[in-house]
Amino acid sequence: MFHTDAIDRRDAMARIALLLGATALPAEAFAKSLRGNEPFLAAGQFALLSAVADTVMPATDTPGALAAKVPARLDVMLGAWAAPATRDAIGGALVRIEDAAKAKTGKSFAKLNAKQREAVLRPHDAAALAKTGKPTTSGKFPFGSYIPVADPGYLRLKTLIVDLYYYSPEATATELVYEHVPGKFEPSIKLTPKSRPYLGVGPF
Amino acid sequence: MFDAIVIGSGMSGGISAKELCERGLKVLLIERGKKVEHVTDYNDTQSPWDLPNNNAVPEEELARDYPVQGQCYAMNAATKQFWVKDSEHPYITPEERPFTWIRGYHLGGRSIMWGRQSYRLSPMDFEANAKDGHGVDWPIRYDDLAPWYSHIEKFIGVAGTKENLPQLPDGEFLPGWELNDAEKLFKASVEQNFPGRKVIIGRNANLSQAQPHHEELGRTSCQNRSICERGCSFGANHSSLSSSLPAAERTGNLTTVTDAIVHSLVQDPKTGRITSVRVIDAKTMEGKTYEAKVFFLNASTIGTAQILLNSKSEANPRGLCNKSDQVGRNIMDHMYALSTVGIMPDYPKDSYYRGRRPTGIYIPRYRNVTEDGGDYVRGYGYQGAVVRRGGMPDAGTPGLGQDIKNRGREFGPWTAFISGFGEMLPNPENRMTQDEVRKDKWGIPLLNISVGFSENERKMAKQILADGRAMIEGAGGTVVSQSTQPGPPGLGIHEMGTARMGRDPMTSVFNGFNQAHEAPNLFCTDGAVMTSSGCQNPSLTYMAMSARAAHHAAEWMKEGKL
Repeated sequence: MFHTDAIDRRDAMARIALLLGATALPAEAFAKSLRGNEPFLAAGQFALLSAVADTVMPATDTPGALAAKVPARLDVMLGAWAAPATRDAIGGALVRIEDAAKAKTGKSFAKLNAKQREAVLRPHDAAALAKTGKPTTSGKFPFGSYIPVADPGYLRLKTLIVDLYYYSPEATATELVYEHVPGKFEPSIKLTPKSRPYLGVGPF
Repeated sequence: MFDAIVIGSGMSGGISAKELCERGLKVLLIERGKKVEHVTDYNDTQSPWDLPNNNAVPEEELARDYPVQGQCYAMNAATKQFWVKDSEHPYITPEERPFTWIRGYHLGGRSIMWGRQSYRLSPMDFEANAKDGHGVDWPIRYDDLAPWYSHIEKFIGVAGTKENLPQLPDGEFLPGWELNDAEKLFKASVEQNFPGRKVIIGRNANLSQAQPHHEELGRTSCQNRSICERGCSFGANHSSLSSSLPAAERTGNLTTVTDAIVHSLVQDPKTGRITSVRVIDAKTMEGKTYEAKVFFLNASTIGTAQILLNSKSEANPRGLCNKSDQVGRNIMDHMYALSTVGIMPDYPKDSYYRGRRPTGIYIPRYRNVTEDGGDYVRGYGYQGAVVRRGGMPDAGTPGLGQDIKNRGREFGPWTAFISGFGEMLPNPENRMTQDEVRKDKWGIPLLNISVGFSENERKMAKQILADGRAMIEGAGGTVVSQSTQPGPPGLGIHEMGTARMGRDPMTSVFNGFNQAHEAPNLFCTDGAVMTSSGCQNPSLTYMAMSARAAHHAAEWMKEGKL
């Protein structure tokens, strides 16, 4: 079980620092190639993020999070978009995944193979997203709802990974369809087995 | 000296300038914000992944600079440049009566980001105050404005369908967008279950089929992108930048100044005429004065009243044209975000649509029209859509990899959402005043804006939600979420009423020609003059009044009356 509120922020940061100080991980070289000149996350943490993103959205019959450059894009957002509280929430979520990997296998998450990662992350994912209260709905257009879960930091991390994956040329070529300039509006189309849903943008 | 000065370049100012220029007047258009260019300054060619931070504004910047503007649905990284920084343009609003002031200070104003819904007020709306005694009587009736509605609809291009409803008069429409299969079923259910109610396609100022007079201005037909709030490089939606200002410019009669904040108007105490406008350069703080024969206030509802209040003098200690003490009072918005969302399990599972239609469905007012309103007066309409749930899978559902992708590929059930827009009554206590101590960086007193809902509105809000639920459930839907109360006043972005029209100079500020009772060469045609609010989106009415007032002002100048 995860009790995010109970985790002392300094403690979490100290453990992130430990991670950052860890020796070079196998994924590091790959991580470097994806990112720009001034990455936000240190190499070790980025390797962990990459491994998590690759496990949440792996390549299957369609490309996965790595092909869609999700770790690098998320790294940019952590530097340019996230407030300190969000960075802490996401950093904390990564630490808890690393802790789970160590507890289960004795190894860093990023050092595990795909199957082992999935074995660690699947139960972690289910526990982290366990609902802890009733959903509340915002009265504000477009009516976002908030569902309290055991590990809100993990939910934010996973949401960013999923969103960034689908909003990519790789995913829109193979999963959800995005047409920047649809041209016509066709009000009635018969679905076929080959039909794919459209990715939304904007209020409608 | 100019023939006319128009203050504000947004929805109404763009039309005032165009109409005056087209009548041969040399016009100076004054805009307080920066210059932005049509096409060049838009972020509408970028795919989602080309926008910074997945189109989100950095969290700390949002909290620091945009705590109010960030509440608007259309505010994101792609549109950020079109919203004021609240940190640079503060105002004061009490916690228990908060007003959410959504603003864009730049050439074109909010006409760039507007929702484009375009509806006429009806005869019933212009008669409402006289009938039930709230506020003062409108000095005009529907027939006074009808030809000007037509004039504007043709010029800006409004797509819609003729419905022959007395409470929502038809106009000069381009072909309306079509309902999808689920919306057709929803329409049939609502109209069958609730005789007198109608579900129609939203009337929107997007060019479903550009006409030659649109193409002359460089405008083309809508491409169904529905990212209109970023500014449209196709010029497919009406804005000052795509439409009214190019029309004004081609006359050769328009001069535009930007970064020019109007401080006040100067009145000749002997004649009552406005002689000049005092302007502060937003960047250099330099003061300037511009003179003209006639002045149009189009600075937006709050901005226009702010200028009048700040134009106080020895002769007018309470502000210009304010013997009635009505300047700054009677702020109305539409009750907003009274939304009901339902899943429609029986709607066709093999049907879908293609393209992002830049409008939704509309349910015109029926309360106190074809159905009783019970214990409140006036009424409301709904805007919404029935869309196929699907697309982005929810990350909050446990699962990884193929689980997520499988969910993303599923076509979910149809989802109906309808959101009420409720009429607010004019209430003199809903008002703005100048702060006696605090000033902005240009030395203009900050505004205190205090607005609350009345008992009539609270009763109406309850009925909006109850009706929303009944219509969705009556169509076979299951309500999955519903708001409990309207958003704060202002968030509907239909603020109006701060310098109302009326017949009596002791109870109103402008007359039936949008001419100030106390200054014959001063006109106002923005939301400030609205005597009541109806429940229809108001921009079309502002534009129609702008064209009508410009026509009369130009005629009277020709005749030597002004």
